[in-house]
Amino acid sequence: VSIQELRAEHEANGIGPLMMTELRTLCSQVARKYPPAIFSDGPTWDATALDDLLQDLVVGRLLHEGQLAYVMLHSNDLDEFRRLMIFQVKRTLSGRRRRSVVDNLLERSRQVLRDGPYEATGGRYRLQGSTEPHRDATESEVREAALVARAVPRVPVRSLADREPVVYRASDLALVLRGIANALPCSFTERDLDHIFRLILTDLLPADLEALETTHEPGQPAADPSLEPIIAEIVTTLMAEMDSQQKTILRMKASDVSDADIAGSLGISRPTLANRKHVVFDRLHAALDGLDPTVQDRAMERLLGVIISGGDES
Amino acid sequence: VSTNAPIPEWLDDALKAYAPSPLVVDPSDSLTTLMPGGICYAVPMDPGASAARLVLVISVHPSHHYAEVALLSPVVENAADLDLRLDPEDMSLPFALLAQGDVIGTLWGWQLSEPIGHVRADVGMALRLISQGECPMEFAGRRGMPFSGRSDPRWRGKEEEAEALQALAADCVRTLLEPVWIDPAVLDVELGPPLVVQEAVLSAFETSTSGAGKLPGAAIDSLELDDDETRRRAEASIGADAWLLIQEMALAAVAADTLAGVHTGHTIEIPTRRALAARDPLGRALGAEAGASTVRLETWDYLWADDAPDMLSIDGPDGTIRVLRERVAA
Repeated sequence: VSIQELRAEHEANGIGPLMMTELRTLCSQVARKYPPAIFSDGPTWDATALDDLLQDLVVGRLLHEGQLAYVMLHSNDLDEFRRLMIFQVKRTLSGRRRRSVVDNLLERSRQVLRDGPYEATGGRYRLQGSTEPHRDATESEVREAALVARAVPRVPVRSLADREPVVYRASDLALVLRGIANALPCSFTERDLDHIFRLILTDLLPADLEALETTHEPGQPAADPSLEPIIAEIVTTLMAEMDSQQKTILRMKASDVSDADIAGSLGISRPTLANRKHVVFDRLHAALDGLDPTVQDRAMERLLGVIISGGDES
Repeated sequence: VSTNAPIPEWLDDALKAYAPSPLVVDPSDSLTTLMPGGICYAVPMDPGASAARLVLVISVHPSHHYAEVALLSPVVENAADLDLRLDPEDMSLPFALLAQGDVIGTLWGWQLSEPIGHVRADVGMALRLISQGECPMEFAGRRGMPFSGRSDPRWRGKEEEAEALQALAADCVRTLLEPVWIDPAVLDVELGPPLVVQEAVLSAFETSTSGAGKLPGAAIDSLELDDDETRRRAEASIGADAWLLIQEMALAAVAADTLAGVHTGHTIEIPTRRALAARDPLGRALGAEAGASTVRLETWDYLWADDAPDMLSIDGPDGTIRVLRERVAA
């Protein structure tokens, strides 16, 4: 087959037998490099599993998202066509995994929303006693909520072999949902949560599968239980010492938000933010300096958790 | 491999639901109508030297023949906080793209294709603000999550994107940083039918007054090297030596293509009077390459003839060069 034949077929029929044959071959070549237990519904890459992948690729990625047009626009020869399509297959596989991780988080969230301090009305959730209106959140509001949730520590996804990335421990998932409920100026739906979780996962489950394969983040060692009183005292002291704006600065820096964005969000200049940020960091430094790194990490996690779950931010 | 694979029923249904439509490019669009908000293909100065990419034109600088662009990526799910998601309805394109506010560079107008889509001017403005750390509220939701440091798997991809744009923009950026090296006047050339290009290339030779101009391979390929009229005009405008040098370079480019078995095209440097003068040993010795107008010769007394004048004038590439004799005591 040549790129000219594929192009002629594309212009006549969108996708025809020639392209389907190419796509089927590429799906088979790519999929076999990845474990079916993670990227497929079945235990092996058999004909049915490959057909499912082909259908996901063609319907979801190439037609619904218009990526077929992108590939055909870019492909000057058959090699380029195949290279771009292989990347689309990988994106499809990655999207499947992200989908399954998000579905898992949503399933666990339903339980938290049922058992936690939330009221549900017509598929919309808000904290009990909240007067936030029942309306759809804007994209901007969803992103802000995702930034709040992002400050909650996540369990790293270390590699492709990490079959069931839990992302959040149970207590942290409850904190995430509380943070989202606090951050949104309206009630929220599972669709909003879906959007927020997908945003949060962008740096955990990227579209580029190779990037994931080489990502290694060390896990956190367990803290000594005897240090718990020290951690609790540090958190209590810092919460009392910091004003609401300082807590907001700390929470946003924990989410990797840029200084410019934080300054814009607080309505202050960048130099002013820089000064206030240094005050926050100096305060943290004074409270944590000299302690074991594990204790420092735990204290920071706990402090952020208190702030996110309803600490008096500005 | 069978080429008669049956078309499954689901594909028929999907093709009806999401009928792929060919991209519509307005043929009236051309380089002269390059405008902010245009989505164009950016190609390297030397075809094949680096991959062509889609870019969003942020600003156009007609007098200097370059445009400022942001690199576009189709991988919208990897968006970071300096990226702006462009939805299909924003661009009249069937796919979404990421405009990368932290991957911005300058390209020659030559390097940009006819636009295949447009976004509103305020989108380009928003991207400019995002790149400066500010974002209009209405675009805030189109941004992704910030990087979580260098361990973030998206980081490597972002570095590769920056390298891709650097490869495309290198020639233009170098020129803008070192304006003496290339005469922007030669960039008035507009690519078109061969005869037009031929005229334009010759015009470029004639208008080039400083530095060395560059022309893309496509223009060089159209030159009729053995045409008498071309030779006459070239020699009249830039001199026989310069024309000979251009012929040598163009033939070398053709030979390289022949040896490689593929046609890639090449950029070619236009030698100007100054550059030619610099090839001359005397001119080089007198600092003509650097465009000197005055040269001081520091000599020991005993090496300088008794009757040598303290100052003399020599015709240089940019006019008269004064040579000043300065005596150094032994």
